[in-house]
Amino acid sequence: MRPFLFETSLSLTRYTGFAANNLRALLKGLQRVPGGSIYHHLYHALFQRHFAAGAFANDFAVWCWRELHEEVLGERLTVIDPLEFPTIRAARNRLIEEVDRHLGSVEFIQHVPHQRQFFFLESQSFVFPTGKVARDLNELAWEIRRAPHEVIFHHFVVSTLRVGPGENDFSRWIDEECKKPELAQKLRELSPYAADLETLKHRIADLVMLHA
Amino acid sequence: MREDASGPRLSTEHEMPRLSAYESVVGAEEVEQIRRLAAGLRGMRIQHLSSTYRGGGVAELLARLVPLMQDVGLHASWDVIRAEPGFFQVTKDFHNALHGAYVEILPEDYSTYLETTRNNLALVDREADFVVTHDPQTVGLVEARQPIGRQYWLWRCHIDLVEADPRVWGFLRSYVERHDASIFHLAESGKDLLIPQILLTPAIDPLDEKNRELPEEEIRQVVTGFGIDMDRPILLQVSRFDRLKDPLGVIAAYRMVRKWNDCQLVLAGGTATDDPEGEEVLAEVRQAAEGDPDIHVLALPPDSHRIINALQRAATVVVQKSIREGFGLVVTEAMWKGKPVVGSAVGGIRRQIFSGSSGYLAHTTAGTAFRIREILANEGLAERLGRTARAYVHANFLITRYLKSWLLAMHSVRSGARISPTRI
Repeated sequence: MRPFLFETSLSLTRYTGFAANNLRALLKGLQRVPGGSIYHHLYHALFQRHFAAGAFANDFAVWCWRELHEEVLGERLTVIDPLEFPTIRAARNRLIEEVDRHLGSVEFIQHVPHQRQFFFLESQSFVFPTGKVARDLNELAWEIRRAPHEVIFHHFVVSTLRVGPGENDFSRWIDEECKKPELAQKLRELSPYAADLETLKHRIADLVMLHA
Repeated sequence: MREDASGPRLSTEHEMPRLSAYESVVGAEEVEQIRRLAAGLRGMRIQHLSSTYRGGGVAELLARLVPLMQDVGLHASWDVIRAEPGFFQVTKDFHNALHGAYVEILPEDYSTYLETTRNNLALVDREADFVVTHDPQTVGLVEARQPIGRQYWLWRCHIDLVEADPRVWGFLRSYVERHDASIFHLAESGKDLLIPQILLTPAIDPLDEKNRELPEEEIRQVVTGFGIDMDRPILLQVSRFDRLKDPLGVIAAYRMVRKWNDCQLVLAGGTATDDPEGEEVLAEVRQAAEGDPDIHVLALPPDSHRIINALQRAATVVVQKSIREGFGLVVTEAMWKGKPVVGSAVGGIRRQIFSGSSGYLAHTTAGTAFRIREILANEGLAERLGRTARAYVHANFLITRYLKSWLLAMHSVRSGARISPTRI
């Protein structure tokens, strides 16, 4: 059986040089910015989300709602689930579609001053091994419980971009190496939206322990 | 403020921090992650170049960062330029012009800048793998960059360039763009540049005098020593006596609150004897506070870190009613102490406070007063805001996170590629 090798992913944030002070500029930005920017505002926002109670799920939705007071568009953007998309390009297209559709229906385009602009940032991710290894389910649960949030984010949340929609590294290893498809499926059904990463990691570890 | 290039190589004000000491705050896993991140850079030389070893946020941050970089295996050093007072007058004018003030910069001022820069070129470590210039004072040292060779140059900008005077910025920009990357606090303080713009928010050190835990007895002693009643709510603003920090607005907000809630106001800040405007503002504040025994105006010496720490820990609500703000580390400090902060929705404060979750953002004096009243009227609310605030600082604004971001920045300029993810 191949052991599970824990990795972590740390992100450096950069400014792309693109900024939007109205919806039309947001649309233009969405069409032009590097993929790392879509990743940052759509996926990485999940990482920060639990600090902002009641906030929308991604930065685009928050900006449209808070700065442009476009409540309808804010709601439409917030239900875009980044974990449904196999690629960043697919996620970008969906965002463009929603903003474009909304632009066609508004009579007045709100402009905001410099400080309240949407600044397109991007994440440059660096992946490296943590040195932790799990050879069975007991070890997997133990290491998950001790892991920093970045490790859980890498293996459980954004892994969909590497291994496909609905899939994550833990489920894949449990399925292929431990031959426990039921447990693998239960993990796939855990929602990263339901709680913060701290709670999520303990839920994962609890489930794994139950089946160890 | 007069800049002084003399002094020890590293600040002796604090003991030198070791990364392992932070395990008790951030956990062993986090510390191990930093060491692994640093492993690929072990043995590399990084030289920081700034204008002073003492005073100001840049020196404070470097005094903590450089020893930590050394502790994870880098050959990190920090040097300051040697210059006459005339140079610092010019760079102070640059500083004000970059902040949007109208300042007349004469051709001879540029000559002074160029001459001092030339005189300091030998300061650059030719063997360094990374050279970091901090702020406009040292950006010109990029003149010493070798035409060939694998030396990476970074410019760390600690100031907000949004309203920068185009003439001064135009002069500095040619130097900035000869670096491999620039580093800003926030996207909104940056500029359109041909080089990558890395974002790196400043951080606080949970173990230094300003932020470490204090015994309850000491807090009481400090606070009562100023005649402040510990048994009644305390509103606190810590800031220089500067119009941009709006101390008179804080007094106005306090008076609105006092109509409904019993409380005291403490305005604590450093005295700047060489800043005529600071003295003027302090006099205005004292005048506005006259006759009210519940307003305490404390003009403290610049090294009153432990006193500020005690005041922040004793406060019921911390206010930061700035009109403009770069990042606002004083907000981070209060949040780290689990205090509910009511801050103006400006600059970096907007990036620290999620209004209603980790504090409150306000746009007006009335809004500030309203939020203070809301917190005073609800003890549970203050605790909830403070808890989230501390957790947010823990995750984002501690010196360990700052070190980690620096290591990532070094990996980023080395990898050069914009492809993500990068395996290291």
